[in-house]
Amino acid sequence: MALSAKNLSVGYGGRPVLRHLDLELAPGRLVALLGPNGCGKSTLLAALCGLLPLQEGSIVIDGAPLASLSRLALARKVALVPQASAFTLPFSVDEVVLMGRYPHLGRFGRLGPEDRAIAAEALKAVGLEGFGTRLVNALSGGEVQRVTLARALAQKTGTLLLDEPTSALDPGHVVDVMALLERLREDGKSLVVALHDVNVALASADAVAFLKEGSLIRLCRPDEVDGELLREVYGVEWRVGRWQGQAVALPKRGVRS
Amino acid sequence: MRRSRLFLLLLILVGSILALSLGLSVLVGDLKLSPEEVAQALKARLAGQTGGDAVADAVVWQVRIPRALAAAFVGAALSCCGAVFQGLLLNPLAEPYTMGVASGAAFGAALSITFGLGAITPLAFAGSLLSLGLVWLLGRRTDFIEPTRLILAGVIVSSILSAGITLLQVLAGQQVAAIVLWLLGSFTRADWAMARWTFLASLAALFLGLSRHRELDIIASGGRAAAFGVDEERLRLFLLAGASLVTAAVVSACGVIGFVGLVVPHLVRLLLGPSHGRLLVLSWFGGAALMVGADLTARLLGELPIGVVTALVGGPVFCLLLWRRC
Repeated sequence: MALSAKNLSVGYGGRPVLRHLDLELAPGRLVALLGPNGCGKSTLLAALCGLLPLQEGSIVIDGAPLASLSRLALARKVALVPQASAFTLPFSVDEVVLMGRYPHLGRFGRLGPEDRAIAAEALKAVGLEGFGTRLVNALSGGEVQRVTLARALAQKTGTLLLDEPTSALDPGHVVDVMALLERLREDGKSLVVALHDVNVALASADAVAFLKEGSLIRLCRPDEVDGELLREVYGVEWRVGRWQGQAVALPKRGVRS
Repeated sequence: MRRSRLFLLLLILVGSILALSLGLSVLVGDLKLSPEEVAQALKARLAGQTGGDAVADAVVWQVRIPRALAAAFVGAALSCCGAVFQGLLLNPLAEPYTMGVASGAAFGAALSITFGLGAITPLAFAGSLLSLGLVWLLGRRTDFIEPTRLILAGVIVSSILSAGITLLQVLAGQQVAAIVLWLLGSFTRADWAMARWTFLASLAALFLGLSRHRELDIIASGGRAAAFGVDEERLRLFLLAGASLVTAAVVSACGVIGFVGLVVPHLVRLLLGPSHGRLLVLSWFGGAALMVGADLTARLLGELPIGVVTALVGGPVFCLLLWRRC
């Protein structure tokens, strides 16, 4: 297993956000996390990369318990792409992507040609070739999102955790980014992707994990998702069908159950 | 890669300005010495000779050179500390005195002047350590260092100490002018010991920042630094304590000189971007050049307190920065 969480409970100041959650991720798999706002998707991702203390349970990454790994060692195994973040300071795109190399440098290590090649490759992968000298605070929301993705790619980890990586993208770039994530999966990386767009999840994921109020209520293949499950998760009626071989889900207007 | 080129260019430019202003500081002063006399005095010592013009020798070697150097190193140290504080606290208004170090030093100095205790510098240093400790206790919750809380604690401790300083000024009677002068900073007392001391402080500030410049970048970029393997807590502890100690060392030597630590890093950032490796190095030279220039101006205008000069120059520059930003 690339990553496995057992009986995971996490909370902020006593208030539990995740309750007794189990999740396993095999290498070369893409799991989509779906669920309403506040259901604990971001908290789960933060916990999986060691940003939050666990109240209960354990996480094992590449066979090593998370608690036994140093921060730097962990950052070489798992990368996080946070929710659309805004940069206030005028760092250049190159400078931001190279921050992803930090876990691989020693205390006084210098960035070498190899690091720069990795950063350039990551920028190319997200379709931002030639953006290196642009300033991040002058980019569009979608470009910023792809820069943070490139920064995570430059970390060269086996596991990637992505928090709504397509939330600020137009449909064309959503397709590009999901195609990139699928390519990464082919390369053997494991990915956990929190998403709001059910159809994007159904189209790309190997498995879909549905979270509600901090619990994992269902983990299934995309073709096993039906209207009833979606209603239970999101609280509105859904039509689920197939169109040219792909599962498609549409919420019905004005029907909240 | 444009920024690395620009960096070299600016480094050469600022370095030349620094060299120029240091040269001017040695040439110009109350006692009118011709450039030849100064050159003579310089040459004589460098060649290991004694004798010659004793007055010129004393003025050049015991007054002007140590004073110019001390000013340069103080400016360098304050600018580097300012850059560290601004990056670490994610606050553009952070400066070396954010942790209450300046008012603590001022309080110690005022205490010493008012009651004629002598030993202004050690008392000022003790005062700054005391207020640093207070701010630390107030600003630090049991498990987490919050930038906003620290800044607030700094403001509170500073204002209490300022009230104390005002009280001391009332009690000081004849000595009140001495306190005011100390508060505004000056290099009139500069000697070789001070030059050495501030040199070490400025190097400490530079290497403190440079040893953690990547971490500072990650924090300043607003990312979740821990996700890259940065131990944010330890980093904050290390850098805040280190930069505050350096500031305390500097402030207790020459008084409270404002604006340099605030303005120089902002100016450099405007030119070079926020990346801390380059920012720190250029701030070191920029702060040094600015302070030597300010001290020269203060001397030429009849020994004005240097804090007045830096505030008069730095204030409008800062207004301009704000104006352009918004």
